[in-house]
Amino acid sequence: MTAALTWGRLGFRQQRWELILVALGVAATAIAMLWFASQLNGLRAASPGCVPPAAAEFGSCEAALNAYSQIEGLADNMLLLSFGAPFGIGVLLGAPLIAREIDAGTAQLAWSIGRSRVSWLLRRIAFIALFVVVALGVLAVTSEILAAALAPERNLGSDFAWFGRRGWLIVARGLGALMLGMLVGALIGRVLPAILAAALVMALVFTGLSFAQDRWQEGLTETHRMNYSEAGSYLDSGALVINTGLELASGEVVTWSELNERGLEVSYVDEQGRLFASEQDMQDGNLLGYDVEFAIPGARYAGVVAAVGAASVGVGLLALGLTAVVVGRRRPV
Amino acid sequence: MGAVRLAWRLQRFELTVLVGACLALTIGGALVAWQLGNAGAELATCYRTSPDSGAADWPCRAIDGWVIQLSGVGTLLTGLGTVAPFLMGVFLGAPIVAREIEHRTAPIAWSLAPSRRGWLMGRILPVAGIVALALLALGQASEAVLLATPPGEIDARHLGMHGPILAVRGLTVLAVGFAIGTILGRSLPAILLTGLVTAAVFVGIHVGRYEVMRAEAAWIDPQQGGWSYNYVHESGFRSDETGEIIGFEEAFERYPDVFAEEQGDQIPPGMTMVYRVNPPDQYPSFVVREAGVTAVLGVAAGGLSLALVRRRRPE
Repeated sequence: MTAALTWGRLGFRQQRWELILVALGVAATAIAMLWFASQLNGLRAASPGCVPPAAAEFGSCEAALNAYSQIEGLADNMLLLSFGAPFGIGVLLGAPLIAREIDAGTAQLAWSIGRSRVSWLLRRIAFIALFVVVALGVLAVTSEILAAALAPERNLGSDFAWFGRRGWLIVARGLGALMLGMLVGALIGRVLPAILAAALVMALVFTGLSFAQDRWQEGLTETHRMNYSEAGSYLDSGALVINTGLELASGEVVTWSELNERGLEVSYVDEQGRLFASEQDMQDGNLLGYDVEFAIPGARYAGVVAAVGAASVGVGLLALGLTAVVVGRRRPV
Repeated sequence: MGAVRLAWRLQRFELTVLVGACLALTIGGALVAWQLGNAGAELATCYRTSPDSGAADWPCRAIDGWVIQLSGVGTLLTGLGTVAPFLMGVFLGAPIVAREIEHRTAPIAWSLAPSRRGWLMGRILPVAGIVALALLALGQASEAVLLATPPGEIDARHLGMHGPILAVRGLTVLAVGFAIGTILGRSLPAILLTGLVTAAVFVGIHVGRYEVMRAEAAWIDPQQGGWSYNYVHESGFRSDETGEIIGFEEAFERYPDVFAEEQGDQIPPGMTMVYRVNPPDQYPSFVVREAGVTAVLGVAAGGLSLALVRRRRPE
């Protein structure tokens, strides 16, 4: 216990400035989120006939609607902060963690004294990883509270609204980003270049992960025909729409890009969402097909979040393993 | 020349990455602007002969698709160009003095150099020159992209995305970085704090500018003035007889019958719907004033660094 506290204190002393700034940033963001949530709830309670906008009467609600939409827009931007926070924190705290010690020559000294470089590495990162989990955990909770205030009528536990911008996925991404930053720092061995390189590597890795996620999610989609004339005939509002396309008259389902590749064009849509190649076809009733959406139902939200979070943590664990290899093989220059 | 070589050696990695990225954006922007100009002209020619874009066999579809793709790339490039001055200023400005204090090379240099001011100028001028040149070029490339992107207009939405203001912003952030780096004497904390201070300063400038724009906005009838206004501060109805302007809420209270009808234009009798906007000819004045305020802040931050370096104890 004493040893853990000593390593924790060392971790804090070495990154005191960064940790204080990150803690202040997280605290300010969390307080702002809670404030916006209380403002939104207050506006709804004060003007139930005007807010949410769907309930508003044209003209008489202008002031209430303006106030609400202004707060709503800012609150939505706050949730963008919670999307960027894991990557920012990963770069700022992860990249310098090992790079600074290599840069200052203290790592080499520690390696020559310590029994194992891997145990040194694990002790060095434990405190920071715990700090990141707690800091991002706070954002995960407050972002959920803010999202609930933005859409109180929705069940956000089975809803893809603000996917990746609320909840525990923020923490999972933060851990992945932290380890990735640490790997870059261990490879480069200089603080400032490591920060710049970590930002680039993180952008590449997480963009790649996002593409892989898109491909995987395509396999989870269900196809739903869109009907413009009947309210409520869409998918549940919590679904994640991955793509749109066409159900041909033959029953075959194709995406718009596949349709273009076949040289087919859609020029006319009627109120039932039926598509026609030309005005003449519409008059003659020669149907081309129906508008469809490929979407993941909201009920699968928890499973998708768990899988995406696991992938981020997996990337982090892989980076941690590679860092251990780099640290183990690095020459004590 | 020696100062430039030293600046290069001290910040080789950061200069390579940041100035390299800036040059890549500039070249990319110039290429996109050139291609957009050509494709736009080609599309306009094609559109004159085949105006029915809804037709299944519209012959201009391929060119139209190419223009849309290029416009998307142009939007991305100008977006990155907007962020570039801040990144360059923070990452190049903050560590210049902080690193030397952190590694204790500054106190040695101060004891050897004839003047601390000369030492400071030797450190910051080469980097400031490189940043200014890179951002001036990027500002021009971004402007070319904006002008080539349909509809080819530059207005208040694009403030800070093009032209020399990019260089002014970059140099100001650089100067703020020098000052914070000199105060803190440690690179990474200086970078973080410079980032925060920069964000606070520019949010403040943005809010101030918006208020100035709002104060100088004029009520305009969109039917007469055209629809090319993107900063609509508020809207209302103007009495044709007295010129009195009332908001929607008041209009709803005064003329409930007009708004009760679902059909019709829902404009009270004897009134015209008006918008409070900034006419396009005000735009250059906002750019100049914002650049001026930013430059004054930069000069103040540069002066502060100079004073701090001169007064700092050689610990």
